[in-house]
Amino acid sequence: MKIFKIEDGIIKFFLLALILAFIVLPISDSIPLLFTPSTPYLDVLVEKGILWEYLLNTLELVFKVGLFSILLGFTSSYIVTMYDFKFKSIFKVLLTLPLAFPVYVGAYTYSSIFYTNKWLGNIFTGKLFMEGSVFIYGIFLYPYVYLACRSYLKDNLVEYIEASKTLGKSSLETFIKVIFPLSWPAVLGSTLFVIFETLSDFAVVEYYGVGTISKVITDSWMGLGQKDTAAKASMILLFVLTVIIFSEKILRRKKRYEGISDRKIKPEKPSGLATIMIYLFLSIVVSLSFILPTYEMLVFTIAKSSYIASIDLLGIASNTLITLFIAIFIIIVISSIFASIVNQLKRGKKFFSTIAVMGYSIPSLILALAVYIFTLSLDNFIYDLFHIEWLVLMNTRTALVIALVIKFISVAFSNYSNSLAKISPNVFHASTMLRHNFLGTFFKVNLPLLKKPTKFVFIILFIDLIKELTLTYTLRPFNFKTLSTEIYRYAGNEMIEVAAIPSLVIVGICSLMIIYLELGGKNVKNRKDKL
Amino acid sequence: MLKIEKINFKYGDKKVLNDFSMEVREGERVALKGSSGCGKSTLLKVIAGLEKPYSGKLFFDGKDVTTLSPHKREFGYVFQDFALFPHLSVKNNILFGISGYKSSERKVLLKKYTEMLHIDSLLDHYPNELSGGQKQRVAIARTLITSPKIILMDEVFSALDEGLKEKVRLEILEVLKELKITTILVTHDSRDAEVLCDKIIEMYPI
Repeated sequence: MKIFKIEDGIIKFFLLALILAFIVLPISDSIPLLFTPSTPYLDVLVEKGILWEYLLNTLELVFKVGLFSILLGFTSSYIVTMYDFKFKSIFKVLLTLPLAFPVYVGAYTYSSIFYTNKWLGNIFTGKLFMEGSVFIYGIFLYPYVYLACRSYLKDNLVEYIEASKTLGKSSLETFIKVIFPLSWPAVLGSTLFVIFETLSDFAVVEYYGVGTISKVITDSWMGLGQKDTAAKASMILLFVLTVIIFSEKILRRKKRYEGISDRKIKPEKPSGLATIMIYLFLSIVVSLSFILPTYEMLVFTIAKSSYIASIDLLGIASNTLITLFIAIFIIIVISSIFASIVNQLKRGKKFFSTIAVMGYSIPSLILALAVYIFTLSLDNFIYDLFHIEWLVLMNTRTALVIALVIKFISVAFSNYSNSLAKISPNVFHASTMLRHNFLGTFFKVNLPLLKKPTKFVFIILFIDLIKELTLTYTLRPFNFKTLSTEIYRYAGNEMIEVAAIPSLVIVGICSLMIIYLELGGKNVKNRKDKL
Repeated sequence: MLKIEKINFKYGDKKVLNDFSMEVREGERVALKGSSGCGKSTLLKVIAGLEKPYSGKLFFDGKDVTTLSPHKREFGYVFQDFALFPHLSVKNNILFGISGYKSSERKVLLKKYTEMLHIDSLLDHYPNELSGGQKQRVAIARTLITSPKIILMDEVFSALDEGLKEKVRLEILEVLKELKITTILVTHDSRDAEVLCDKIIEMYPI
């Protein structure tokens, strides 16, 4: 039976091509720069071995951040899944709240904490923690691992644990031989997210003085205005990323172990000593990752409350919110259409899905550079055509919105795809059989079905976008201020106490949203589906 | 050999087992038969130690094992869904419970049980490469190789298609008879109970 009419194919092809062009074109426009001759700045970096040193630093950073996140994230998820103890539900929420902290806010706040608590600084700012940057990324990004592993452990392992126990294995043996090997793919997958976020940030390493490839890109692009040097350095960062992605695939061996039934793990009461260890571990983690930095920011905000009027918080917040809402609206529209088309494809589903989520894995600096080059060439084209004296796209946040859409479309796309995949294909076939074409089906069937996930997509996008700094800082119109850029500016001018005011606004709003997601039964684990 | 005395079990407020008692003698093959929700699988889990009753006692060879953890009971359990470890090959799944044995001993046991259950050609395969019947044999071999004092089987034939069921039943019966192993089988299928067991206990929902 022929399910779709001919015009359906045309509509779908046109929409697919349009969306793909929107995602791929801006990225591909920077490719010619890679083939320009080497620059003097790059030559110096190579000759003096600085580039090599920065490359090794980048690898060391991601390796250590990954390990630290696994230590914090997997251990916490194991504890809250396997054991039953007092105040567990509070700990469960508190463990997710570091996601409310933009990593750069964490870095600025901790610089003051390390200064006043020298012993803490001595532990976490040494070579092992690469001057503090490993600690900052790990302590604020581990919730990615925690959320993914918590969900995996709870839903997938009960039968295997029971089987291991009936085969005579103790709890420790079961952990070593069954729980950890089975959780390994989930651990690796979520750690990859931590690494993406680490590579996407430039502010933390810059603040703690760690030379990485990001520094070469920012210095050459924003400091020297050398786009071609930045593009070449981007290639090195992309190479690092490719190595990491392939390593993850090799280590994971493309496996993911699903549970056999929908039974969930029944937590056990820990013994006396184990209870003490659990409280100690969790208290240290939530104190360092949320309570201590929040307290520090509150103290700063109260101490510098007189600055609140001079900051123009309202203007900055409205700039932030307007940009954010425009980007979220476009992301939701594009991803709902794209997911609906891809859901109906019989072939090429994986390819198109990969394209849609590609933006998230590209480090933000590289994406920013690519979009910058793309919009600049479009602006030049507009100038040639209409002789408009100013850069239309660069000065109207268009470049920024394009970059935000490319970066974060994966969040919405993955959620929508998962929601649509759960619905029987016959539902859509029925609509077609009732004489609705693709657009009719989209408006009458898909959109109503996507209403529920949209609420969660909106919240997750809001949290991601309000925290975003790299794209906003590099692609904002001249003198355009948002909460994140103001935090960066104040912190860069050694006014960390003042930076705490807009920081607290971001952390406060994001915390409330994360608590809502946690208590609302749908946790942020869906972020992992971005891939 | 196994004595269950007035076992009570609840899921939340829902009572599943009410003062349940029974006895199983050495070498006996007992079927617990009943419709779904009557508590037969729960009873099997209580015997295995995977669930704890809120009252009642469980004795094995005269010893109270009610609070003993599952790995110390030395009972074998074949799960309805087989619960084969997906990250381990068939060989390593079967050897999982005897990893502490000497290598030569493990080899002998592996050969014995895989030949007995006709799965010796599958040793390097992974669970996702096996059919339902093959998975079942691997799960049974994995349990038998540990020389359990009792083997507990939870609806182990339910995943098989009708054509295969009768053949597998007879094969398993042969193995159980050969090993003279005490067996408790949970099933909702009368035919499973009739073919495999010499005692049938009917259970009803409370």
